[in-house]
Amino acid sequence: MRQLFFFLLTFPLALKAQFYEDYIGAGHAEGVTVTSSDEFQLFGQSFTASGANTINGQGMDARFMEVVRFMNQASLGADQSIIQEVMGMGFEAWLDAQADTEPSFLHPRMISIIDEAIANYIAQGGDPENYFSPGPWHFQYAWWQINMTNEDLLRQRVAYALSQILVTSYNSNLSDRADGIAYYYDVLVEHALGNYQDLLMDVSLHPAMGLYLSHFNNPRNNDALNIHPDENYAREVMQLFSIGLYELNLDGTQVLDGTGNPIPTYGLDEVKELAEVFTGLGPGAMVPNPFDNTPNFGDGFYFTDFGVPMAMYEAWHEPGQKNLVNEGIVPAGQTGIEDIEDAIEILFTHPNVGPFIATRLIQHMVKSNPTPAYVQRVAEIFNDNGNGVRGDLHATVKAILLDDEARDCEWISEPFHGKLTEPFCRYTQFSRMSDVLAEEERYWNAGYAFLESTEQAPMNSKSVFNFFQPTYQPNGPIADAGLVAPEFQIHNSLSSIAYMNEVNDWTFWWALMYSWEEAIEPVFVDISDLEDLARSPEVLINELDKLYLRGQMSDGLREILRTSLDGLQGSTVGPTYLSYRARMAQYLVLISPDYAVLR
Amino acid sequence: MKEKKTVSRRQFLGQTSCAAIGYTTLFSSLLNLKAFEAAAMDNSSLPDDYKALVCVLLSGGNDSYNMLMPRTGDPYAEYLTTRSNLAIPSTAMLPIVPSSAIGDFGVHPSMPEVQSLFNSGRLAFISNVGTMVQPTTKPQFNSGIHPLPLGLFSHSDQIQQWQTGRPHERSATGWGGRIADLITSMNENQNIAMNISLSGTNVFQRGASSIEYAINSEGSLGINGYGEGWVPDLIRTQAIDNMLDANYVDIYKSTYVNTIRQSRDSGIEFQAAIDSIPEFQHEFSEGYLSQSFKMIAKTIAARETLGFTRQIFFVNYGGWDHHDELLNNQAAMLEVLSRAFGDFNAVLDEMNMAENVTTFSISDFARTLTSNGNGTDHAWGGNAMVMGGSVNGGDIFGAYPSLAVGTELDLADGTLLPTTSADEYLAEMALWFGVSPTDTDMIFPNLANFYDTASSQLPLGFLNL
Repeated sequence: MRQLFFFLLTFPLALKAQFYEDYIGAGHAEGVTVTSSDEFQLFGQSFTASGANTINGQGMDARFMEVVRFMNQASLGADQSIIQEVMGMGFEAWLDAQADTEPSFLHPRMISIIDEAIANYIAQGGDPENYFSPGPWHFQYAWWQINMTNEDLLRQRVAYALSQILVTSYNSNLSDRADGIAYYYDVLVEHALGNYQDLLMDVSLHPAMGLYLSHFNNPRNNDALNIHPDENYAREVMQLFSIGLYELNLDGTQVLDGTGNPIPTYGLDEVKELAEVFTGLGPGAMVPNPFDNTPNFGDGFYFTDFGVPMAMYEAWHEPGQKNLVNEGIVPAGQTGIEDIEDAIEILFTHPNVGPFIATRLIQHMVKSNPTPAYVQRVAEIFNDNGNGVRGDLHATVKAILLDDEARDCEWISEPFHGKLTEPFCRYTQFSRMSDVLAEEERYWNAGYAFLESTEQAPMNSKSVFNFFQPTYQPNGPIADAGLVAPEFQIHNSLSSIAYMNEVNDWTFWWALMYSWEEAIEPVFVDISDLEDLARSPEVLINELDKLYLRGQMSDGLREILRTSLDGLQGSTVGPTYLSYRARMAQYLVLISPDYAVLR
Repeated sequence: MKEKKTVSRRQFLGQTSCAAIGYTTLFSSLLNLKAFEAAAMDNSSLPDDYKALVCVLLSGGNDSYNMLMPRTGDPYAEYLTTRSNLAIPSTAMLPIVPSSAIGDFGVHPSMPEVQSLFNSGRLAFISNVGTMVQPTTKPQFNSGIHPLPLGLFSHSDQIQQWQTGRPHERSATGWGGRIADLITSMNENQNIAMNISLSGTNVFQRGASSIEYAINSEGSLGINGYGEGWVPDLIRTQAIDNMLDANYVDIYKSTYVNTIRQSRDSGIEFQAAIDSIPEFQHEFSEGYLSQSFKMIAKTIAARETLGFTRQIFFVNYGGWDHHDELLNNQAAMLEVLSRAFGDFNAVLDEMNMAENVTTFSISDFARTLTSNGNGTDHAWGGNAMVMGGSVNGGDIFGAYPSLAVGTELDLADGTLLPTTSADEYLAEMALWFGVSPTDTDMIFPNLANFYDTASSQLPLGFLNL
């Protein structure tokens, strides 16, 4: 039996008469002796409660909880060993190291998982001819496999945020094109810490985007037939991916005209002209097939190779000059690709992009209502990373996460600070932080029940406007204060309860993750360590506070947990009462507003 | 922006004297209130004192000039030329002849139920209707100074404005929600919101104080284990109650908890009422839309158990953004839509409630009349459908436009200027629902630019009051 550990700190009198402002964890261990009741080691941690670790800070919960909070912003979830690693490195060094961490690409992982799944299918007596792949569920398996085991945490966090800004979705004619969406996701992964201009260019030429926003096989004007270029991509690349609807100041507020009205960034003419830029793109390559292996403009997408950018077919491209936003001109006489490069350059250099993207990323990672000053500080880094480079996403994300408004304690208690963590990130954070039982470390999660319950799984937005819109204002104090809280758009009388029932399944009844493959065991939450702590409810409560609530558990929740755990005794629920305590505590923590709201 | 006018319940009730009833009564005695309301509603001409609006949002922008088309003569010739490779031949259209003798029309070949509803007088079309701030001509549109809806041709804005009735601003409340703000106290039931959504959160049903109650086609969702007798469930129930009933200073936490609390309060009661409804004789088709209509029908069937006399329903059937593959994809979706309307009408007849329920479609916008190869792009004015026993069916209201390119309504590529404002269409339903004419300007602030709200005539006349 493990005991509650405590420290006995002995400060020898002979401290050499040296006085300085000091605190436990500062590392001034010289001449200090610490003894503890045992060499207690928290589960999953490499550090023990040894005297030295107490003094150097690595055994200290406060620092641990601070890092959990940071990782709730900077990642999709982190386990205890990652938290320890970041504690050791410090935020900035960790963020810098993340830029050089090998990216985890989804498509190759999906292919290897499919190979494994087919082998399993055959082993179960199935005929591989009958095995459909790649399906959207294989994409989800790969997504979870990566995000339960990866080291490129920052990159994956940003890629996931970008997937909600530069949206494509299975809810479209890509519904069974997991290869297309996987290749697309990898473009986001590749550029997540790279340059926004490169990202915008690759997204614009990606066949999955071409299909989703229909500039794939988009022909030039044909007046005789009353055919005009498709305007879909032209509109959304401006409204959602780069400049937005209204002129912005550097701090993200709207520029107002003389009568106090916002100034539109573009009108119908600019959309039509930009639509002409995005004509002539068709399949870049075909996957080997028995019919036609030569890509041609107008070929259906069935045999299109989604791993190759769309190609320009000049005969189908609208020639001539195009007049775009911000008085940008794409000159006549260029190739189609040059037209697109110019157009992307014009959009990318529009002064709106910095504050527009800064606001979106801050809302995804840190808070729903950043101050204009915060937006401006980040936008300035977007505009110039310090080395004269515009659009450096790593520098931008670093500016977001290291800003005083994200880090300083005083901001935590500011009334409008924070955000509702989207349901899907509540799922990933819990999954990564918790001990789980996963056969062969296989995290193949179809995530379908969760999607049904909460409307969320990666790349499953219902429209190009994402699961929720950045300007959404729920009724009540948030709208009354003129603030926004995007994630509340998917928090309603149905989804809010459905999320609680998902948590119930994870903690009480059923699995945390499951695949659609025969004979592949689901992933279960392993509560055995928590059961040990549950002998002393207060210890269990503190542990959950530390792991899941960043040490921010409210007194109200603590009291609810105390009462609830106290009611679960051998005399009331039998000899497995410790298990009930651990499960109940996890359940209540996960459904609590303390967990749902990141401050 | 002009100041919001406060509107009392009394103004809503309009025709009834209620001077004796003050707000003290309203808040202090629900029983008295119910008695009062029963009296107030007595002058309704309907057999059963109940009215419901059912809003069907076709999100994505339905290409509605391939839903309702001219079938003969010059109008058809113009249609053929303009729509080019997207035109549906007249021989394939399902013929209809509007009672106002404005010509021969056809509905899309995959909409036989809609054809028959039209022919039996249960369904009308509203033509070339769109979001508008003021009546607008093409020169005015191009002038750059004429007031226009914000974010024209943008999905997010236009979807929003059809729901808010406020195209001149980005409003956080919808016209269904503002109606609920006015009249929700008429319903005996104050636990469950009168605005019921089959499609989650939406701005249409959100008022200053009211919000949608979201359910799915199975009904409401309860918290697993809540209220059950097993010891851990007793503990769970107590813990959840304590969590939900606490006060939170944090605005995000309080908003998070409020939604769950309201759902807890509604769910058990709602589901019990739904479960008590016997199966309908007419069988609803499979699929999301028809099954959503089935749950709406069950909710209407449970109106007395639940204590509702006024309800607004919302269902979003999305996927109409047919920039590509228009012909095939739209046909499949119109078929689903038509069948769902047919199913719903059949069951309302079964319940003898057709006159009490008005079902109507809205969509972001119609699409360019000209083709972009194999699809169409975002445009503006389009055609909508309204169905019910109170509808003057079998006709087209609002002028059906010429579909030739280059007309005074064609802004570019067959993007049509609407000739009927969404306000006229929607306000007529609000008036039918019971909104007092003097309150319509609060709900539709631009309505007076199109319609004399003091008029004894309805804006378009497609409904019988």
